[in-house]
Amino acid sequence: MAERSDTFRIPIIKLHDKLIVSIQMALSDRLVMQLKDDITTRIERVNITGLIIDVSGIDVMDSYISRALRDMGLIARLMGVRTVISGLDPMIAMTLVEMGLDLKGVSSALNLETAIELLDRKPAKTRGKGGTV
Amino acid sequence: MTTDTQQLQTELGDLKTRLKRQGESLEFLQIISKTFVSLSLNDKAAICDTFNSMVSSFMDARKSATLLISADGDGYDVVSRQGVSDPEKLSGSEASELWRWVISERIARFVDGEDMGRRCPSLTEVFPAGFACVPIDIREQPVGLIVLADKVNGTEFSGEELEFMSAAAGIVAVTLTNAESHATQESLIRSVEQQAKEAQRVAAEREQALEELDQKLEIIERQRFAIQELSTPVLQLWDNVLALPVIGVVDTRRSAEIMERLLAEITEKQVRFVILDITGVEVVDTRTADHFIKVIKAAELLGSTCILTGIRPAVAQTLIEIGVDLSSISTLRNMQEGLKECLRRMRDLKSGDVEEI
Repeated sequence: MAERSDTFRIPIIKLHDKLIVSIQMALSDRLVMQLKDDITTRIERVNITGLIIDVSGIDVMDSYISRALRDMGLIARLMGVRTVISGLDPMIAMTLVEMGLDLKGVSSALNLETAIELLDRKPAKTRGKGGTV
Repeated sequence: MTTDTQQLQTELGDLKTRLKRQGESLEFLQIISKTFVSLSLNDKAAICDTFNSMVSSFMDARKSATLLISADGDGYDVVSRQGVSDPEKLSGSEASELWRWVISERIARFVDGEDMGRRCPSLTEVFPAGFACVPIDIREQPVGLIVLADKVNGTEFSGEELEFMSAAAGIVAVTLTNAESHATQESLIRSVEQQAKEAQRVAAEREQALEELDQKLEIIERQRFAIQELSTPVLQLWDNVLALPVIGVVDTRRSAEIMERLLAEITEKQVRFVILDITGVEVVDTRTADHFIKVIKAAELLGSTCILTGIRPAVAQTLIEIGVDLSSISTLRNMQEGLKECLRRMRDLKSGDVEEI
């Protein structure tokens, strides 16, 4: 699915106290910037506590996009919103690890459902056993 | 005057006879050559036999023999004979001396009975009236000789007859040379054929060996595949819990395979927890540790939680000594503890009690 025009934006859906962004196409630099702006604006305007970015539609991810996703997570956290990325492709996960890139500050979830579950849970309580996660 | 005329007439008659005789010898030489050409004999004995009988019949000699220098170069073999009853005498050591002398002269000659009796008394019985002989030369090398004796009309051998014998010896020498080259050629062909056969056999053997090698390689490849499959099983241990027991040496290639399989299983089955058990890993270095960390990070990127279990005491010591940082990874004693931990976390998830996000 090609980018149809310069005004095309990635839709951001609000569900209860969460924002859901589903990326179903290859991201261009413009789209990434646009998305960053859109998300921050929405977080400011709407009262939410969680952000889910579903990337199951992305099959190629370079360092720029992975960095952008991490940045979004960190920005959202600064604004008091927890971010979960869901549906990462195994091959992309391998590539990210091989390249030494990670998505620190952003949690991962297997799919949208578990992402919602994850956000619904109460915030952290430190675990005493078995090291850290 | 009359006596002169008579003398002249006698001489003329004599000359006529000699001329006639010479014409006959030439014809006969032609016949001999033709015979050898048409028979194309390749056997020395056969050549000598033919030659011997032809020459002796032309010369009207009752006794004749053809001798060739034996293979060891010392004695003489009687290859063909006619009218000679005891060939042993011809090939005896005393006779050999005589032949050596005759051959060294290099010309056709007549040895009379007296001369022979002096040089070789043992032959007196065989050739009482002496004999005519001519050496056979091949490329300036004597190879044997022809002996003729005891003419039917009782006369001695004349100069013309000796010349005829020389010429005939030349023919037989050529024929013998041909036979020799033919034999050499034959043996060469045989050896070439044999070599070709040998080469063929060797080629076939090599091909077979290669085939066997191919089969072995195939077996090795199959076994490698089987070992690979067996060595990285991904087990569904519980609802939402996968276990990955790693056994043996983990190199870059294997770690890539492990990672690929594990991540594929995680996405396919959508499991929350993975227990990576390395009880079967005896040796861990920085690189191996790095591989494990990568696998775990990749799994966590997908949204699964990874727990590392079964670190052996020696391995644990090594890890600390080489300064590998595993603080970001949950590590537990064994797989049982790992499973317990997974179950506990799942219970926590259900109750909505979360540790960290």
